[in-house]
Amino acid sequence: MKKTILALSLTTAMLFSQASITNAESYVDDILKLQPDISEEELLQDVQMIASNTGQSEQVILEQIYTELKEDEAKGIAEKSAYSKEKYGVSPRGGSGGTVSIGSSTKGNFYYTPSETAYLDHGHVGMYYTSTTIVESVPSDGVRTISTSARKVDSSGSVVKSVSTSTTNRNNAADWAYTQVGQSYSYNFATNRLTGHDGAKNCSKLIWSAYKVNGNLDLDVDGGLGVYPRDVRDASDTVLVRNI
Amino acid sequence: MKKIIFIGISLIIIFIVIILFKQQNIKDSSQFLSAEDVDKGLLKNTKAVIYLSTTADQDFDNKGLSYSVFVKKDHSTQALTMNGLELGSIAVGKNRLLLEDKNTIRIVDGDIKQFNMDTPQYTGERTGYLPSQDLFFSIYNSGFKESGYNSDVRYGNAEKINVDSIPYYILISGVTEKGINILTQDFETKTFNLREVTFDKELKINDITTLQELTIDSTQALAPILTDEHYYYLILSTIISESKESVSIYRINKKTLEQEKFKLIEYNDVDLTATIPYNYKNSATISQNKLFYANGLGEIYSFDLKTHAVSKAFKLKKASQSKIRHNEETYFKDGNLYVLRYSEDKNGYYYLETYSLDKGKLIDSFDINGLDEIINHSSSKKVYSYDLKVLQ
Repeated sequence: MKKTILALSLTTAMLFSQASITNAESYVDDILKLQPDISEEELLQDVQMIASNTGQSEQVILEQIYTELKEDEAKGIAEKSAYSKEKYGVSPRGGSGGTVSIGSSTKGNFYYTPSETAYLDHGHVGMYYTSTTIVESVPSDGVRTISTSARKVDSSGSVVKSVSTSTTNRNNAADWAYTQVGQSYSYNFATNRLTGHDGAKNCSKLIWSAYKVNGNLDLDVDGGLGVYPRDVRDASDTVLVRNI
Repeated sequence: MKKIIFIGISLIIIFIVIILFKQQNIKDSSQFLSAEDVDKGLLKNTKAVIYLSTTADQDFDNKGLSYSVFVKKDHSTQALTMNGLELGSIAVGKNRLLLEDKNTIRIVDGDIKQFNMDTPQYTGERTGYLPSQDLFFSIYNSGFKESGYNSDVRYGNAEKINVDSIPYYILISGVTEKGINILTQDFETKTFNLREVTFDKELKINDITTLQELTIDSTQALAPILTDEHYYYLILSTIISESKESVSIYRINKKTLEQEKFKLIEYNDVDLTATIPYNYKNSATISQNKLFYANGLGEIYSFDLKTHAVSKAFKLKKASQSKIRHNEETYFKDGNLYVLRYSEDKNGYYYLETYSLDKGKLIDSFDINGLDEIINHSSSKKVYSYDLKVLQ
């Protein structure tokens, strides 16, 4: 009888363990499908690093990354559907471009526009370095400056927002963002809250880090492991200035 | 009997599919050019060229694309497909064109001479042609390198394309017969400097002067740098608030370097985004002792170079007052203003208007066939207009 119980217990444990490995592999595959420009090796390295720092299991971290990506994807699909019903609605399949100049605004403010750059409609954000100059991170080019007359976006869903903090923090954040010009683009949205402030970065990481380093603000509506452009747009410390 | 009907219906469906496929291919092959299709007849039959491109971010998979769209005299269009270059443009030389993308320069004469560049560029600034040296150039907003900010330059002709760099961020530029004038913006020293770039065997940068009275945080360039015999002219604005802006002409004497400022337009309680020109690189010209400036509301202002009088010369017909745009472009040539327009009431949506600067009225307009199809041809990428050049 004891032997039977032991055998059953071992079988059950092995089955659960196998299921767990299968789940982890499945999450890795699903995450990579949602973010195909990062390699499996890069993803697993990040996950191991986070697990080591937080004490959480890699399985839990992978699940969290996957959940955040799926939530962002769902938000993107819902907003895309809403834009397409608007008179001038344009599918964001064309990256962050468009025909409407984003126009001027105050230093330290940022703009958001729907964008399907990295396979998903993550959206895109860029910061006003001066009232007429944008600093932003874009795939291919990395962190760049561009004039607000030259930078054009689709108007549907595009907004300019300010950050509720002191002028000093806003100016310092914008100045810090400018120091990142020339850094390459990173496709890793999934764990970008935990990567270093310097080095390669995507658009949302640039603005999030700028205000994290200058003013200790957390411009991320839902926290977690990744900060996506819509997370910055919807952060509680931000206020709508105007629709583009 | 059933079998015969089934076979008959199947054959009809296959036949229809083949016909539709062939028709699609015929349409595509006639509207999209390959390099081999480019011959002397192409430029002879071309009225205007439009540059469309994806934005830099759409090149994440190395599949960004651009089109040089040739608008023919019969108003049809043909497009040459290239790689992408956000803010790229076209330069017009003596019966020749320079076409560019992120890593290629093409000189179109009787045929196409193609030069592959080692370093890709993702943001264009200005292309042009210097007749005194029979030389094409293109400047790019390349960004920071180890040595500081760089605006890379490709220049040359059908024999050779050279590469060099201007170590500044360029806010706006303009072309003369002999060189390029650039207004550089230095965010650290908080200064704007007017400089001249020439190509005498190699690229040379001559400092002209530092502009006074400009604030680094709120200055916006709205037009190319223009010149006449005695002066440089810059159209710059100061952003005062989200809905208030002051546009001025800065005039700099070429000999004394004296700087003067003339008020051109004051925007109060206006959606400032709507006032930005359709293309701020092609938004002004000097013609018959007047400087003309076309803003985004379709208003053409004139500044008399002798009396300094400012007036609203004329307005584009049915100009939108909205910031919403549809790839509109402007181009000044030989006393005329050419405008690429869009209307949902038109069959092909896009049309090209010609306004006489002297008469201040519309003198020609024709519908462009097939441009909308080219703009929407790609199912995975989206292109936007960045330049219009009228050849004849």
